[in-house]
Amino acid sequence: MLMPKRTKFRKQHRGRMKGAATRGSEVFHGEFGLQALEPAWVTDRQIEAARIAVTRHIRRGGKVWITIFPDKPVTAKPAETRMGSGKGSPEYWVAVVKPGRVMFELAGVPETVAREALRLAAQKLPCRSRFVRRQDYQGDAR
Amino acid sequence: MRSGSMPEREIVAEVRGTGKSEARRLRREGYVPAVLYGHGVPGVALKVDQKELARVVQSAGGRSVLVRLQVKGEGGPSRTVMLKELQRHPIRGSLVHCDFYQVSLTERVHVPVPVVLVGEEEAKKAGGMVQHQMREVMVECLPTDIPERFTVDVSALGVGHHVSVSQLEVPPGVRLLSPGDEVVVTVLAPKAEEVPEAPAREEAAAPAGAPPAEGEAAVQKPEKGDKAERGERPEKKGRE
Repeated sequence: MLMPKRTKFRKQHRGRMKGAATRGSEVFHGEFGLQALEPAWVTDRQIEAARIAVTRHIRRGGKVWITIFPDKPVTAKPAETRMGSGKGSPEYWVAVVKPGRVMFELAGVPETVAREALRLAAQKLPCRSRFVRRQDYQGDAR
Repeated sequence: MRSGSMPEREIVAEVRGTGKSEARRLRREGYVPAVLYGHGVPGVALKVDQKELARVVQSAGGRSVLVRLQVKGEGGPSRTVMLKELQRHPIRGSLVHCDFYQVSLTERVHVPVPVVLVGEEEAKKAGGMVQHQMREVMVECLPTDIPERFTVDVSALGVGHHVSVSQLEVPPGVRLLSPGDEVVVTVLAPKAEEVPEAPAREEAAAPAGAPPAEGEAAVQKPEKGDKAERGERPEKKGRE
């Protein structure tokens, strides 16, 4: 599971997810990508599940890039606990995703395979998303 | 590996006002705010027709094309410019802003030139996985000598072989700026298929991976503080 190696502080404020992604909104490494259309916290487990879905579908050949990283700790209080006594303990990690952010990239497979692989990955994610191609993708013309 | 000369395109622009409300109004009306600048050329805020700009952008060559820019109301010959930067909306993908860089036909410029692969299918059939690592190469040349693209034939590459920047065939008058030892494309051995037993292993590892670290490496930390906070303290507090 993805998580930071070390952090400066154990707990973070929740923050806001206003606006759209200002960077990482274009396919950079690969030829195809999965772009978020809603803001969301994507957990480390969801990222891993999506990655497994993609790699299983493309089988061999092809390369996958995960272009988000869960670097925000999420805390939770134990069940049946009274309120107060401070913030809960860190439980898992999330990546803050804003609309427009490309979350996964794929290369080295035909477009039909990439579409299906990323559709399966999208099922594991908490936000609506869509399939995108890189701007200069030439497809079969190449 | 070959290259070609660059065709010229034409676009008409008008001088515009500045400010974000003006820019938004222009976008609503089907224009794209743009700016024109260059070496020794004072900056001018412009607007161009969105469809016209999209047509130029979509035409071959993408960014490194020479465009004839005619500014309305400005007498004299049209200016020769390049599309220096394009900003797109992160979700809609529509053009939001454009930078035109006015070039002198006698002054060398630094531009990115796309690298296109051919013969990928043959390389794949031979059992390799083609990894296109560098999609653009920086070159220095006169604006009229800008190569449209560098074409790399990967059909003869075997697994483990690569093509570096220095192996690109550069036309006369063009100098490569990207480091010669950088890899443009490499053919890798295909990865083994993912074993289906992966989920069982991950589920077993999940509880250990869940709590994060403070300050140090996550693996080394014994999670002393977390356990105390999670289980014991709340129970002791519940007196009522």
